[in-house]
Amino acid sequence: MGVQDLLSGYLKKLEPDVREILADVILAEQAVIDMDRPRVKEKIREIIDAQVRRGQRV
Amino acid sequence: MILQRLKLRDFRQYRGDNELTFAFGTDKNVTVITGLNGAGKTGIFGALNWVLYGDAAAVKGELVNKAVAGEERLAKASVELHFQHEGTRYVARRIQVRTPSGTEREEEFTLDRLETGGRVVRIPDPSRSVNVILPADARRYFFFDGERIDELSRVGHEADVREAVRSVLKLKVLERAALHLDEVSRESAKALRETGHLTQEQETLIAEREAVNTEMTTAQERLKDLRDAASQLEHELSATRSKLDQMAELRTVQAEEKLVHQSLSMFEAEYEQAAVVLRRAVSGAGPLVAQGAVKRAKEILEEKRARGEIPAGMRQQLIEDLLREGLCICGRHLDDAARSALENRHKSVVPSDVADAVLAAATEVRGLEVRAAIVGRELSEAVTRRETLREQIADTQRREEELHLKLLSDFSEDVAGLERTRQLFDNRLIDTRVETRRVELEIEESKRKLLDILSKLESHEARTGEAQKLKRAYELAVKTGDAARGVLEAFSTDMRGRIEQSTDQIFRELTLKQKTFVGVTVTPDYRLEVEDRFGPGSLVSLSAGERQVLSLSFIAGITRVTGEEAPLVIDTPFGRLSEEVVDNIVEALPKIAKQLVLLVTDREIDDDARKLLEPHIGREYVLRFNDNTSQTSVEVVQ
Repeated sequence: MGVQDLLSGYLKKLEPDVREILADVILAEQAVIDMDRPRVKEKIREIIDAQVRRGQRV
Repeated sequence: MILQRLKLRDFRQYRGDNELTFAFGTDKNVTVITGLNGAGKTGIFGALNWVLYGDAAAVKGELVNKAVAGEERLAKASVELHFQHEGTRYVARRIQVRTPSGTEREEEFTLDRLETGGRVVRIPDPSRSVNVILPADARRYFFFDGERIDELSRVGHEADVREAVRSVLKLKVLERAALHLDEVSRESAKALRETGHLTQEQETLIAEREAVNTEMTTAQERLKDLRDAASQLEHELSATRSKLDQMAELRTVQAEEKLVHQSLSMFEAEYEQAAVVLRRAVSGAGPLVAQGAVKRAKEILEEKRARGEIPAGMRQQLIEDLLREGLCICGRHLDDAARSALENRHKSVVPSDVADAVLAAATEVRGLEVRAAIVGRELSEAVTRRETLREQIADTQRREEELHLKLLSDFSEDVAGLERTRQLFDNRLIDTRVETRRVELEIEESKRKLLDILSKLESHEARTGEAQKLKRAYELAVKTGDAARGVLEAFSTDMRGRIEQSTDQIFRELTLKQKTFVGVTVTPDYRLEVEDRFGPGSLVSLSAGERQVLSLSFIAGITRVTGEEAPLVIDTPFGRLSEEVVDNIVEALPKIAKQLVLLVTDREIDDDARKLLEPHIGREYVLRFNDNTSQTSVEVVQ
């Protein structure tokens, strides 16, 4: 079991909407190789907005 | 990161093109690169560090090959590393140029990603990207000099260890996530304000929230500083207590020194006495000296007795009485034959005074013989005793000298001064702990306030759909930021525990003192502690070799816990380790590390270690230095 799996265990304990956002944000931060800071924040905003839209549909 | 190929061109003493392929696989994951001293092992190690991190300091001296530099106006050296990270292949390449004036400068550093289908994508910020793949502060725990790795477990290196662990465990990713989420939430709040959809109360609450957040960040930084300070104070306190313990030892040493001195005086007096006894024994040793003469005298007497020249025990008077009375000694009358024999005997018997003298001489000779034996024994005892005493005196003098040296070298500090220092550190530590608790309570209070504000904010209804969306986005950003911090805290505590357990287990496998060391601890500030059977705090007394084993165990522990695909590249891994420890390491390390690269001298791996390592060796090279050309070539061992 690697770090990622161990981290997933902690994420599972969060509220579903927060968990989904944080999981995506962590992925974005990990994939930061080609991305500068403003683009990371933009990506986070996109993740949150997508979650807001999903919440409205529910 | 998994290393695949390293290509050198005119780099250091590697003239022309030289290439190494690194082993990686389930069984054969070890690459062994052997070279004599000066053959270029550290050059290979430096090339890896330089191509990835531009760390020219890892390679001492010029990077451009000297022979090429002498022939070409603009000589160049290049290193190219092919590696794989999370399923993607990359090529890092760095070029150094030597100007005609003789100075060197970096000309180019590129990082390309090889995509499926052969497409090559150049990554815009190669340094930052390499740093994300294997952070610079973490790489020195994956690429390291075996003889210097003991620094990792030295007191005062906690900050380095903490940074390395944060990088390796991706705690920095979580920290960045929390930071960026906070920034996004602040920007969302600003957008809400600008759209004018916030009530006055909401605006107030948001402002309060930001203020509390700022307070909490400040308090958390203060808490970190306080914990560092407490850790440092604990070290200093421990060192001072140790010195004070030495002072207690001082009294013991002084008492022993006094006893030793008394013993020495006693032995010296006894030695003098033994000398007197010996002199006396020597002066009475005449019979012993004359032992040869006595023996000869006894032999002469025996010979004369045999020849009848000295009395055979029958006195002259007795024979005359028997002849006169005509009687045998048994009372019968003498016949003619008996009388004739007795008369013959009478003729050979010496006069009584001569017989007396001979008998007395014989007695004296026997007495001398007995006396010689006694004197011999007495002399032997006196010599033995004197020799024993001389050895005791020498031992005691040696011990007295050792104690004098110890008193001079180990106990130069003033006890009262040390005690004052101890009290000072004690008080400071108490103050720091009190302050730490106060700050912890402040943080708890801030968290409570934040929950309260968030709950109030949630209770407000947004007036429009757009405002609702903005508000929801804001709330989610805040909650996710808080969640990121919570996960970070719990996850880092959990990881520390796992690393501690793994390090402890590996250390006990590798160390020779498996019964002496009972446990390894990784403290909350990532300080390594070792407990032996006498209690905790034995890190300071570890030898450099033991610290090397502990550091290796720690790195292996992290590698095992993270399960990351990261190489362990070790220059001179076993230089100062005992054979048995080397055997333990070569048996354990290939199973722990995903990829192992060992840069060794010809003497570091003996036959036993080689047998243990052999099943895991996938690639092997020998670095051949040619003294005629001063160049090294890389040879593959088939």
